[in-house]
Amino acid sequence: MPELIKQGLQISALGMGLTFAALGLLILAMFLLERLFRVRETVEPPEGEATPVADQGEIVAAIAAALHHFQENNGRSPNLGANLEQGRGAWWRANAARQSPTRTSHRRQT
Amino acid sequence: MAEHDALITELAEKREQIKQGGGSKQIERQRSKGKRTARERIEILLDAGSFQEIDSYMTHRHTDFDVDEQRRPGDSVVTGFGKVNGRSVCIYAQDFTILGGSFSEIQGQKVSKIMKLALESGVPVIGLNDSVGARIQEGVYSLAAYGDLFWHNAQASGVIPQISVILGPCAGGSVYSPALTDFVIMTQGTSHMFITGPEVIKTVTREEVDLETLGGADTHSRISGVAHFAAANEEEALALTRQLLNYLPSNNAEPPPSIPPTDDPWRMDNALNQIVPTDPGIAYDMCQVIGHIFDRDSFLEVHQNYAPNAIVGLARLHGQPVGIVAQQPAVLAGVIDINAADKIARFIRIGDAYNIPLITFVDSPGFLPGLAQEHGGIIRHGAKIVYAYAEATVPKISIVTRKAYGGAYIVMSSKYIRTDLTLAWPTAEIAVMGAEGAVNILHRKRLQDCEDPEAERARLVAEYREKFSKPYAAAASGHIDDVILPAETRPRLIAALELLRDKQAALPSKKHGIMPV
Repeated sequence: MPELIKQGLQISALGMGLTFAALGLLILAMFLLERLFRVRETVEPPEGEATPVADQGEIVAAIAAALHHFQENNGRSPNLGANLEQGRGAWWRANAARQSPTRTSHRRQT
Repeated sequence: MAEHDALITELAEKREQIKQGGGSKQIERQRSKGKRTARERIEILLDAGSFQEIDSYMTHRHTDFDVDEQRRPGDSVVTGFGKVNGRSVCIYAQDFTILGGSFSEIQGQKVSKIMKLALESGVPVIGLNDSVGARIQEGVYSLAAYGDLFWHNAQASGVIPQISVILGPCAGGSVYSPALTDFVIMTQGTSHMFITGPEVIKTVTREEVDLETLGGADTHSRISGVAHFAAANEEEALALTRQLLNYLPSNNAEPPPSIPPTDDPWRMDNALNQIVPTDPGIAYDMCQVIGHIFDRDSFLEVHQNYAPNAIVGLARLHGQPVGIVAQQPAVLAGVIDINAADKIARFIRIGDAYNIPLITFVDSPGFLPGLAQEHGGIIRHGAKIVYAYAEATVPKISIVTRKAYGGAYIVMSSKYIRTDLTLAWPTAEIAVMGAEGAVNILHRKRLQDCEDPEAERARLVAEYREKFSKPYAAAASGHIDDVILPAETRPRLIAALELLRDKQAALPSKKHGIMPV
């Protein structure tokens, strides 16, 4: 029995060792590949184009004004509420006619 | 020809006698108290010339205590039907000039008949109450008539709107009929409601109390919540009844009456963007918020004086009646107590019964703590709000304007009690509890151990607020459907109502639920 346990442990250790070794190799390969094929991007700030802080504020204000203008005028659907003015639709009427049996309705009483 | 004339003359004479009620002496006595007769009240309430009286010849059959000597056609109530703003209604008005408007066997039969007609026709029923109570001379017959009336009230409940206008005394058993109706309107100074009068109270409990304190309009509209409205006089009470009917459908199978829109659906009041203070400790008036959003001058507050930390009422949005439920941060910070819970739950059920969409504005730090509240059953009363919202199948929309903490967030039309659309303003704070309380619980040990606990507490409170004092965390997880500009609320609500116009939601089949009453 102790021999069997010993063998079991040896096999487990061997299996785990192999797995971790393989994982280690994979990590190493990924690291090397990343170093070899890294895309080098260098973005150099264009000379003399730094935006002053004051200008940024103006841009924000302009965007806010534009949004406000859009909301005030262009973003408005001309027929908001039109469905409400038409009264309840067929879907409501049909379902109102077959209301839940638990509910007393005027229609069911008559 | 002459025979026909005689018959017509006889009819005319009888009609004139009926109009006289209890006689000119009794009418004068009624007027001396600042009260009108039953028929005068009906004339004021209904559209001109629309009243059709029925059962005006019925008389009682009793003889005990010489009551047969006071037999008058029509007995002590006037019943019939007519129109209010062009819509049919049934009505009964107790006639105080005949035996004090006492509730007799005949009065019971007449009122039950008109209620049956109202129920079968699907029209609202209005009761004008002015009665000393049961007719003692008739004994059990009077009591039986009460029972029949209450049965009809219960049958009509939630099917046709029932409005009780209390214009005089309403004592003893009489009070249960108004209590079973949807709305109770009382006049200040002339109307009183109580189960037992001041004399009985003095005998039993040795408490001395006057009529007004015991059961006047102010008492019932502020303290007990029995009355939904307190009117200055009869004219105001009757005008209020007409106004109220404008928001209610004739029955539960009809949509509530809409009117042509009178206000711009795109109206966006920028004042709303600054109306909620960013400091959660500063109050604001939710009625102002409501005024900016709904159709101008359309808000009719119900239960205005009772539990003023909550607001319920009817208004119009693009001409459509809607029910509004809200907290009032200006009173007790909008906390929910027993009375507020009752007020809210009852109104939700009225809205749901009559197909009126519900719009909820949430700003509450939670339920009111305290021994009196716990022993008074705040658990059971608070549960009524959840029950009412969960059971309601009408369109439900909620807007969190600021605080939505813990239990208040859950019960006030939250997403998971099946609110159709939940919106939040940028000032919304959705959290289990307020920042200070949460930091004290979460970091108790840390605050005890650190060198400068106040500075550390301030830092932690700020950190907690940063996380929960904005609605974006709740919106990111879908607990809030959208964060909107306060000024946008009106068009957003109209658009939502358009979507939900024909909403249908089924309830599981059952006889009825067990509401935690």
